[in-house]
Amino acid sequence: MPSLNSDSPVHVLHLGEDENRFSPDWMTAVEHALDQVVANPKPLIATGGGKFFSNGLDLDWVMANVGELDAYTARVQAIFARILTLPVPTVAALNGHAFGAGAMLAIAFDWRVMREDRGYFCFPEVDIESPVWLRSFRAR
Amino acid sequence: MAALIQSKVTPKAAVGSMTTGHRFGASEAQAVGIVDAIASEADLLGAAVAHVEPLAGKSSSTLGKIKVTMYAGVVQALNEAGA
Repeated sequence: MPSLNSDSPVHVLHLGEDENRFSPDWMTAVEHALDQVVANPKPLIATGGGKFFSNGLDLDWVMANVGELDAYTARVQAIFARILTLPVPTVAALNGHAFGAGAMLAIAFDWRVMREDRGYFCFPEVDIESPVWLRSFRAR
Repeated sequence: MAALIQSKVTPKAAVGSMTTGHRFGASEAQAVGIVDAIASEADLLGAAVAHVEPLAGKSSSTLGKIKVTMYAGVVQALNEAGA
């Protein structure tokens, strides 16, 4: 789960050690971290702990909760919007793969620094017929 | 979502990433501007800190207003999509 370290002159948001997908609990932790950053404004760095920065949406949860798709995507997009306009300098440190929504998450930050020897940045949506993205991309 | 990506990367990079599913390694991502810098694993966090720590003194309220203005259209798109 994401955690925020605010001990240094910058906040460091650790997105987790696994695929760091956008599960409801994961998003709750990120939202709380953003609240803390806004309450104590200083630069924000986000990074992951293993092979992934973030592998994107929690498709298992989505497929098991299809009735909540609209609320889920609204929540994901609200996180993007919040990071995009966060009132502090922000940078995503891409320790590993940033795929799909994980790549969009990285894009929402002011800057991106990427590990030179591992991990891919990718928007794979064109290769998967995910109903989530078809719905979201249709709107804009 | 498209508006978010298109607000941050060049049109060429947007076409090259959004319509292809291409997997960008770090050097390639930097070459097209998707990422701003690359670093070794050991230097990654330090490079990120170096990017933003010099900006720590900026006015938070002003910076927030500037970003809200810069991205007004994108935020509107993000709030409308899926509704």
